[in-house]
Amino acid sequence: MTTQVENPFMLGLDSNFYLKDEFESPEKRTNVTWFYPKICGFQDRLGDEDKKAEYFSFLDRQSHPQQTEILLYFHIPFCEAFCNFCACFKESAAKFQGERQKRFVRAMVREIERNARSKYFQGTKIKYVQFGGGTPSALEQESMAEILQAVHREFDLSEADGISLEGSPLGLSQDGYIEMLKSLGITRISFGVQTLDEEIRKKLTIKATVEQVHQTAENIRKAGIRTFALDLMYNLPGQDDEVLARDLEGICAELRPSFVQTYRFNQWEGTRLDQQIRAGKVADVKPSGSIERVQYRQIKDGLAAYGYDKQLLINFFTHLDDPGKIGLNHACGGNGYRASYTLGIGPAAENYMGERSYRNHTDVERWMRDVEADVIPIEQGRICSEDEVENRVMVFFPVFGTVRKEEVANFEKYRREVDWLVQGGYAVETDEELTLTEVGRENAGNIAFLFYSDEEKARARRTMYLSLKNKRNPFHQDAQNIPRTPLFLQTRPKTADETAERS
Amino acid sequence: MGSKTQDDIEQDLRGVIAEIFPAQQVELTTETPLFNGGLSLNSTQMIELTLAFETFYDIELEPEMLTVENFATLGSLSGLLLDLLEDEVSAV
Repeated sequence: MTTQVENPFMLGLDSNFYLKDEFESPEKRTNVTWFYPKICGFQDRLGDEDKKAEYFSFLDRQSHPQQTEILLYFHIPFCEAFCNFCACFKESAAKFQGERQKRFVRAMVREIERNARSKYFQGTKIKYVQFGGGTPSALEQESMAEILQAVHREFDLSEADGISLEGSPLGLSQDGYIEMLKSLGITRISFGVQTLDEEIRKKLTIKATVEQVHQTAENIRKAGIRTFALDLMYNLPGQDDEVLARDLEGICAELRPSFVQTYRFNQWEGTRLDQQIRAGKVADVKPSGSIERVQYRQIKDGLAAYGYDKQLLINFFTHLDDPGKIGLNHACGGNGYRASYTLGIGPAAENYMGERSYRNHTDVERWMRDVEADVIPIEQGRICSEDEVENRVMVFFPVFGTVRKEEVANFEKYRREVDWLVQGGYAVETDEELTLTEVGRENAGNIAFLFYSDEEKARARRTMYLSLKNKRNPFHQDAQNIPRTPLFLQTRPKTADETAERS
Repeated sequence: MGSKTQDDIEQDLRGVIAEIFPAQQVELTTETPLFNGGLSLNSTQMIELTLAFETFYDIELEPEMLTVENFATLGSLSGLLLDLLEDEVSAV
């Protein structure tokens, strides 16, 4: 086979997995699902304005059902520098300075107002606010302050668990930035360390220095922001077990955040970085499914040895015995709410409102133009089937590691999958809940796929096909990390006519 | 191309598969599963294979045809392609 490391968002789709060897194959381990039901730039386009108006008429027709929680998510797509492994939608911060950044902020505020003042959100209490990206701290202090003030002014945050923000040492190390965030209600800050190995950081084009990492961690602590989380990656090119052990020591013993978030390295097939790794230009130790599995165990054991032995989510660990009144969900920075409704604001933000799953324009200019013209800045949206809505709790359950049966509308619908998981030693079932075992946690991404319906799998397969055919990123159909030279083009088979000519 | 038999198409597919997945060692019979067991393709490889035989035959699949049933075995895939190639000829 040509592929050793796979596109992780697609892996599980065709293995219905009732073969244990396939299920546990190191080369077929996939990521857990963070957003669901997925939408597709080709299959779910909302081009027609009338269609769009009908789709969004619910905003002025009905109120939000109070029993479901709402996560408010802001996508700030700017980065001071691009790390070459990242597939998130982002734009160069340098291109959005001065007046252009002010225009972006005005559009964000307008989008906040439009949603908050709709009938749907009138009087709705927000459960949690999350700023992600991109890098929200790539915005100037005044810009971020203006957006935060609008959030407080327009939405009811009286019962919110907190406000979290992802940053980078490049922005957060500026004088007064962290203090400004704290003064405007930010209760949790996270940033990506990924690795402390200088050579690997350079290869992955991570611009912040290790010194800036230490300084920023110190500043967050000094500012008194208790909920402080750092990202650690594993299975990076060049990150052998010794490097990973040093990373664990540096993060847990020296930087000492309250939470560690672990992320596996994804080698997006066909990208420039993928080609460099395959050609041996990045490091001798290449990422692989086998290393990833071994290092997942090393990370869990290593974190526990430093006291980070409480696993809150599949990839979130803490040394705190009690995350405090901020609660478990806040500790997880919004990820604890993935099964709730999500209102996304900003370019490329994803939304889930009951049966509606939709995504804002990824193109920042287009998004700003639509907001300025009072046009809903959405490029894709779909009405999900009852089946998809119902499956959502079970698709997300591997992220949490456990699900209470009373939270599942029709638990017996999944009897075949549940029995298979229990018999295979992946989960334990009691009268009240279903909980993953250690082996189950190691295969959490694949387990999520068990709960996709056949139609959902087929949709995802079509998305992959249409994305590659149209030379777009299969993840979001945007322009980030497009497979530059798909393998099928590298080894283009001769056509039937060429074959006939040759013979 | 319209005169191809299903056996011809299977033989073509063996050639395409050998070219894009040169390391694969599985003997491909009509009944060989393409996914679980057998050739053991994953989704990415399924799409690679699709794009490859589209190039080979200069045809285009409807995305709806990307079903597990159509790609279950070499035989089912060659059957799909036989229908498609016959449709191409009758459309001319």
